Amino acid sequence: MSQPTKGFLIVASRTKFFYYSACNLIESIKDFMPDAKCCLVTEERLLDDRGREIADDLIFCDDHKRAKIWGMARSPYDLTMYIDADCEVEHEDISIIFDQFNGSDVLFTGLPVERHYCYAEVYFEGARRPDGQPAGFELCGGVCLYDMRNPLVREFMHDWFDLTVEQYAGRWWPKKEDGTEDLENYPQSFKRWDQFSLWWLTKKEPKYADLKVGVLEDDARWNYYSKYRPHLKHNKDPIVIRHYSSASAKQEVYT
Amino acid sequence: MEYEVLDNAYWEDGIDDRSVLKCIRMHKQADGSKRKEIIVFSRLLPDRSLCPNFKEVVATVGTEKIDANTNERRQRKTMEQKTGHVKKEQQKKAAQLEKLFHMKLQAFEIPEIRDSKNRKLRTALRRSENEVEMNAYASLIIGIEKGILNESTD
Repeated sequence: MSQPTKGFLIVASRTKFFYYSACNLIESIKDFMPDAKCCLVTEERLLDDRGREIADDLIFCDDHKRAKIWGMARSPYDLTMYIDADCEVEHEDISIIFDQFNGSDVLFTGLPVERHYCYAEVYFEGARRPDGQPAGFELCGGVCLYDMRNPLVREFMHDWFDLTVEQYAGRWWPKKEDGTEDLENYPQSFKRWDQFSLWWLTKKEPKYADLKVGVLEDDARWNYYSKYRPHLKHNKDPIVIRHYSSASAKQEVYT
Repeated sequence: MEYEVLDNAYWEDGIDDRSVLKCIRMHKQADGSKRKEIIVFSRLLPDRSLCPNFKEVVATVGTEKIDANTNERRQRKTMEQKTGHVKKEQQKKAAQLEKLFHMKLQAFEIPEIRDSKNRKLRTALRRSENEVEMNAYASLIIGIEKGILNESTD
């Protein structure tokens, strides 16, 4: 049996900030893994010689807000590590990322309670547990390790994109028994958030009941937000991927 | 007016002086609800006589309990101050890291750096831990690319 192909997928659309960040990210991967395969998904208008040179595979996308998921569904690699463009690799352990599946088909990083201070909204009524305990989003989509050899994973990625497009366009939202939109259980503020379509598919869609969705071991090191408070020690081993997610900075220089 | 003095009163001037007392009085309203009143009493009134409100709170809560509240509050405030300081420092550091990241992206837009094949220096620039280090590597790359400095590329 042939070895699965392995590679990183980075999506940069809409602004130069994401494009330059993506180039930087790919170079930072190759600083530690010179032979790593990297696929850059970007808009043709953003591409320059730097991107052409560093990317092993190029896919052109449009400027849809969720080109990220569109790109994820089209990964040319069997085992794919998707990383948000505004990240940087800073440790050699990036080379062991493809050993982290641990029996799962798709892995993300988590949203445990001790890191909730970093996120705007986590809990919502529709996710409340049967015992009455509050619940909500558990997965963070900043990075995603997935096995495209599994047809269910492929379908999942496509369905995630399709559902998100419908959601953003206002054509899909969970309904109440009377047929109206259920905004009591699923707040209006989630309508432009792919986190919600991810939650819906993994928690409510029977088709994906057998999909093994997991959280990376020592997950904070694989997606360490620059806003994390170091004294809370979210990571056990050194940070591998740092996520620069400051929205204000993104707007500051690049449009 | 009917009210209740809460038992979390403390000495505002510390347990050495015990001359200024801060407490909360919960007033019962006609509709059954309660109104909170935060109030400070000095032991002595302007005419040097003992303040009856002060006396009432000490009698209700007890000097020992007020001492304990004062110590507990002081410890809590010190801890909050420390935690607040740590939080502020970390926010500052996070902002510096973000800024450095954006400066590096900008550095890689400079044609001499963007097009440089000197992988060693490009990596060093990317891993710079502060602005000074980043500027030093950026200058080195530009110097080499412009032929001002002499170093073979890898």
